[in-house]
Amino acid sequence: MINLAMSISYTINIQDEIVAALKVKEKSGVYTVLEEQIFEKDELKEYLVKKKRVYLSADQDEILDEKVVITNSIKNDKVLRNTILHKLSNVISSKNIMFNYYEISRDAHDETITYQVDGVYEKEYFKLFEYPDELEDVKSATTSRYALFSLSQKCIDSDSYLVVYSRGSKIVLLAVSKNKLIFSRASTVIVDKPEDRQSTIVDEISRTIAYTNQQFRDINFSAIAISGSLAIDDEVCEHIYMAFQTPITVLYPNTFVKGLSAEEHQSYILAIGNLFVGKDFQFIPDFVKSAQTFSLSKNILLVLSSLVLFIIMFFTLEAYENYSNMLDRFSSIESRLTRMVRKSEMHSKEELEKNFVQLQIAEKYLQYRPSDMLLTLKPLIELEKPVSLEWSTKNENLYVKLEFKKAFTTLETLHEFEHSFLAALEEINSTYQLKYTNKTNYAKMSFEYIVSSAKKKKAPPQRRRRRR
Amino acid sequence: MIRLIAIGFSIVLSILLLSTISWFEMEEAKIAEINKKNLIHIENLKKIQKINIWLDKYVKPSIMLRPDTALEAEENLVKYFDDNAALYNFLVSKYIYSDGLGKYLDVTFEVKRENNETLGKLMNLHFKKGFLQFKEFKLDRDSISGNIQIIQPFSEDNNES
Repeated sequence: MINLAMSISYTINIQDEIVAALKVKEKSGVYTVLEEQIFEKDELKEYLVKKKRVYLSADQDEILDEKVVITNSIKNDKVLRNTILHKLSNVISSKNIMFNYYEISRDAHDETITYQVDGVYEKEYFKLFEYPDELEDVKSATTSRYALFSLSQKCIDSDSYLVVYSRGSKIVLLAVSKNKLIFSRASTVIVDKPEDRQSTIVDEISRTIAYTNQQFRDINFSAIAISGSLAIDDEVCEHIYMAFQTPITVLYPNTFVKGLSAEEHQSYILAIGNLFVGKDFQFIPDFVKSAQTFSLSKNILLVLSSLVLFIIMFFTLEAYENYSNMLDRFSSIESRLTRMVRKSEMHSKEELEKNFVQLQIAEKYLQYRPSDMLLTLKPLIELEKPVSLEWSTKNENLYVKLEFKKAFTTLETLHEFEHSFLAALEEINSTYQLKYTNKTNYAKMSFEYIVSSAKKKKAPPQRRRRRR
Repeated sequence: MIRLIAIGFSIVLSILLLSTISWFEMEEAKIAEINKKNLIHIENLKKIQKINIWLDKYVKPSIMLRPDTALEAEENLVKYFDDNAALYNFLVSKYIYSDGLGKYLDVTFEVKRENNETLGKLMNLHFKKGFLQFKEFKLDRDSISGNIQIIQPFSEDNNES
């Protein structure tokens, strides 16, 4: 749908007070006319309301059609334009002008270049831009003769030819050599009798050929292309052929413009020509270019802002999902917490204080247990049962004393036992500091050790607290 | 004009959405902080539940058994002494006294080493209504002797400690 809308264009040609308008659809270089209209110029503004992609052309009473010879050394566009304006200052006087230029020939020594300068006078030409609804919608704007030239270039497969267009009393003649528009002229044919019209047109053509031959040597037009009302007048065609003995062809762009009959093609030939005007023959004022640039900027900005919006929307969605997940997690944790609170038995302060006192008392009186002490001394006791053990607490201090005695028959077993005994003692000393006194009689092989607290100290952390 | 409105709308919406993102992130951080605290609360409640179970199983019964009056506490000490005196050869070394936490009775004990059954019982000796503290424990060639402090807390006026 968007594609269809984008390819719809409106091409307008204004001649005097009459407007020829076509609504066309372009697909793969072929235009299909959807609607054709001829109406008064006053209705054009209304017609162009909300119309996009507008191609414009109009007859200009005054145009600039000059040849300027400039030295080959000047290449810069700005300098060339200034030089052309300077050289044509006498012709254009003080009027503001828009012009295009292109090279048509060089001298024999390649020192100078002859440029064809085509231009329009701004005051008259700018009136054309009062009609479009939005200036940015103007795709192309030119004069009628360049629309005709562009179409003839598209239709005629020859590099030198003459184009004759007529409508009512107006006649336009274009001389094309080497695919370049070397001369053009528009005139009004005023005759008293209709039969004089043929000879007048032939005279116009003769004068044009004579002028071009005089100005540009070695030009041999291979065809005379006729269009407009002239193309449907067989008698005039025959007369022209008889006069110049040059093949006559009719501009009939039916291969790339569909939807019009042969006669209709001729009525809208200049409007059709608008569709094929190249950049060199367009006269787009700066204010239209600015509007187009502004429009392009708006489009770029719209795309960028939409893209940014889309990306931000994506991040927003991601942030929302994270937030939503976090909210779900919050609900889940909160409900767990609520369940836990409900399940947890609450105690009064008094009750807790009671428990606390009980635990304080237990802490105080359960810190010393002989069984805990024996458990700590297990490695030694397993090795040899003590002959005596003394264990006492006073003022929260612990005192312990163990006496070990054992008789041996060989010194080797005594030595081994003593070694194991000291290793076990070392192991205990990592948690509980003990000292020992060695009273072993090695002569009698009688082992005797007294192990006691290094100093009176608090008991080590108990491995298991027992309720008593 | 429509395009300008669309651009304006996109920009305004983008700014709003950016603000929304900031708001979501802020709220997410706040909720994350609350969740963190709630998880700590849950862990604490789990610990409290475990403590409650432990209190119910080990502490509360002791409190329930605790006498309400000093007289009752003394009676318990005396009764405990009489119940075990014969088996462990209890002799009073310091008669009933008090320090604000409860009533105390210090006794000496003596058990022959060859009497393994009694020795085993001695090692597991406990006082259901209060506490026992071995103040002295002597093991020699023939016997095990020592001093035990029997403690009987009571609820009347001893909670200040």
